[in-house]
Amino acid sequence: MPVFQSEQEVYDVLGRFFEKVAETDESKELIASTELSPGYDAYVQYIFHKPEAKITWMEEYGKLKIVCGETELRPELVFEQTADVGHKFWLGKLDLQQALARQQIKVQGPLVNALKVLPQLDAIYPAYREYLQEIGRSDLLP
Amino acid sequence: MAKAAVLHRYGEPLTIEEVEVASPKRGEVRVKLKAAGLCHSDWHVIEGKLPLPLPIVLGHEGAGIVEEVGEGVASVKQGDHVVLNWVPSCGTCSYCRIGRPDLCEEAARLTATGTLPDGTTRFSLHGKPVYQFLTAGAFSEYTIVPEQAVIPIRRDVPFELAALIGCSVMTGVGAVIHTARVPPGSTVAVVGAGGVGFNIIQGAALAGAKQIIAIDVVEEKLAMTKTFGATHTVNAREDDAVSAVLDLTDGVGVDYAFEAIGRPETMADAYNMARKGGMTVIVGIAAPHETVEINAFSLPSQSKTLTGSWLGQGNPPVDYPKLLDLCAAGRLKLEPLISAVYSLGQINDGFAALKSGQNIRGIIRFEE
Ligand SMILES: [Zn+2]
Ligand SMILES: [Zn+2]
Repeated sequence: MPVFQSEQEVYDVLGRFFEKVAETDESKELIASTELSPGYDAYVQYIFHKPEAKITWMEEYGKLKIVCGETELRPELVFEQTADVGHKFWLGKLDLQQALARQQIKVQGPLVNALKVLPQLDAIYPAYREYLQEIGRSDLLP
Repeated sequence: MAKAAVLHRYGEPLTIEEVEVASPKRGEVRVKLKAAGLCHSDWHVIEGKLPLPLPIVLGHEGAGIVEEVGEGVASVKQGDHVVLNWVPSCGTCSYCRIGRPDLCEEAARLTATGTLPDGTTRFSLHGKPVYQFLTAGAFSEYTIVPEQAVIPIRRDVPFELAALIGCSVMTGVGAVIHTARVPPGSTVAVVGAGGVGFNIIQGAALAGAKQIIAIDVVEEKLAMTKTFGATHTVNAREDDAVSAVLDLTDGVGVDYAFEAIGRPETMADAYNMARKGGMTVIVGIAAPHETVEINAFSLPSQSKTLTGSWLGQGNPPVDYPKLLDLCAAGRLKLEPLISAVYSLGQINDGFAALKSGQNIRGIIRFEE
């Protein structure tokens, strides 16, 4: 059984969690230090399968803004994975290099932008666990 | 004359026709078919995925009785029970000489021409040639094949079971034994539980694999894989196959992964679910224009062996009798693989069942 049963559940869990991440000082610093290449108006897009869902990270007033669902935004970096793999990733249970090698995560765009963020993810992983507990979804914890 | 199922146009049903069958020439054998399996490769031709000259008599997984031999034929005689060998290796090309009859250049050429070695066929309809698939043309009451394309076998195995040896069993068991050479205690994943997939599973069990993970989308077939030796099953409709295999192997991946479907995506899956330094064997046959996408960084960093297996890298004159002995000894289960038996006239129903994934193997039984 997939972790998430519907597109809406992906947005309710991962989408809302990303919104929490957007409130952190780290993410604001990150936005301030990152420049989008010409022709792009969003940083990252996560394309999920099983269930199908799409979450895009863009900038608005110096802050990260989370867009759930279909969008016209042109993201510089696209991560494609099953929602199960996405969930595992944010739990910190997935080695990105291994996941890329096994095509569990497929990337389009400058991976180097994502790699810059990797060290900061170590602080975010526990936050996802805490968030799941907070919203009463400890059933999603391994 | 013989009743045969003929493909006249791609994408259309086969039609049953009375075709002329000429006498065997030098080095050729006339076989009265008793049973023939419906294989995905035949279906690929019907779909137009394997381009061949038309009209053609399909069928390559067959067994029957030698009726007449041409001049100079020494390895079989009238009355012998035989299994058709759709890789009739020449014995003299460079591949045959290095002990790889599965890669025979001459046999590969015949795969594309739909003829016998002399460039013609013995089937005709209203005076025009009808081609024969993989030199076999097994969906016909009678066929004429080169001597190398018939393997004499013991007589106590029913023809329906013997027919399976000629493609799905050799391909599946051979991929494990010859291509991968799976040692006891290995972990194995098999993507696709069809006629070949089931034989990979029982080949892996025969080889002493400790963990055999069967992957398919049909729950009934997955349940059945357990009686063939599968220790775990994954329904790829519900779960991501690669993630599921990693979960079942402590995140390591399997020592050996086999793909028995023939789709680029599942081939990549099979590659991705093998452990670092492991081996992936592609057995499924894709259309000749398709490409598989795998991660470039993984090639050096994961150092896997990615290879393929054609007819299980088998040497039919040696392997078919061995496989039949295993079958007679109850070490290979073939009967449960036969999901349905059809008459030649019902062949299109058989292909419909094959296409929908509902049959493991459908068999044509020829009337007396
Ligand atoms: Zn076949
Ligand atoms: Zn040869």
